[in-house]
Amino acid sequence: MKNENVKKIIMAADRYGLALKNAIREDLEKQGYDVYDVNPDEPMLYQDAACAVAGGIRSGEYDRGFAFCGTGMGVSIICNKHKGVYAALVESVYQARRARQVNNTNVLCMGGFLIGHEMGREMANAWLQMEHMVDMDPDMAKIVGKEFDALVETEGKVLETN
Amino acid sequence: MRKIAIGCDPNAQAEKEAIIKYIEAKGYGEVTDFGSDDPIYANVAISVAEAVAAGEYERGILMCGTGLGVSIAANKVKGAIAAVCSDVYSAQRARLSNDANILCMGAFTTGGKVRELLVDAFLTCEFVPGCGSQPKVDRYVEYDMNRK
Repeated sequence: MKNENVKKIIMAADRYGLALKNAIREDLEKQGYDVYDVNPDEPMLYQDAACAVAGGIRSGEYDRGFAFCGTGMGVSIICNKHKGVYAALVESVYQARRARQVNNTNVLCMGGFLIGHEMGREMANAWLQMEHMVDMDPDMAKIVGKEFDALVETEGKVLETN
Repeated sequence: MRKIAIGCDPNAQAEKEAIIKYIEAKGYGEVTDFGSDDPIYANVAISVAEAVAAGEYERGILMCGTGLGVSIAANKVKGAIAAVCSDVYSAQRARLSNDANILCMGAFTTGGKVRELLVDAFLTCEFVPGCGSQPKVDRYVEYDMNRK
């Protein structure tokens, strides 16, 4: 079921993640999500794909992003270098759900080498449907909320000193 | 040269063709393609499983969307030990612990590179007779051979 809180999505991929990205994009578009695909046909370097998605999130124009490469590792590392961008590399539906519910990620990364198209769709939808701290035991939610605030604070300190 | 039987349903045709190329390029063995046209995947699974169980082929590889259907069907065949895998450790253990003779994989669930790694593991690991898993394997082989 489409998450109405998600207004705009941005996605990009390198050559090894392109087909997976497109398969997921088609599924999201069918559900009525507003998706901007940075590179529908031509691959980019994964560094550029990651920066395009991270930049889109930082601009405030997009609520969620997806980035893809061979294993998903490169795009996730680079996305996480951007302040305010919290990217999760996932291989399971459970991880994808928690990546939003617990970790409040705004970018999901996957690897074209590793993930089949249907699996990719399952993970993408599981992540999009979740919201931070929702459907959680209230005591757990308080802890999780504090943990994310601490992450943001740490991020501020780390990025300042580097 | 090892003889390998491979089959799939229509959901995995392209993926099967890719893995056949990979197996041949690596020199793992001589591949016989049992086909990809039948949506009733149990048919190809049973054909491959029977051929492997009869000793005509040393190993079998089956694919469908998740790999589950072909593994369920293959395991109905006496002498077939089919393992559906999506991670390398499991593919190794399928040989080392379970003495599986058929590897099942999903076109919907795994990426091409993972399937290559699964095939590497499955076709290079060998069950060690008399190992700690021997009595465990013996038990289900015994059940399989004696069932009505």
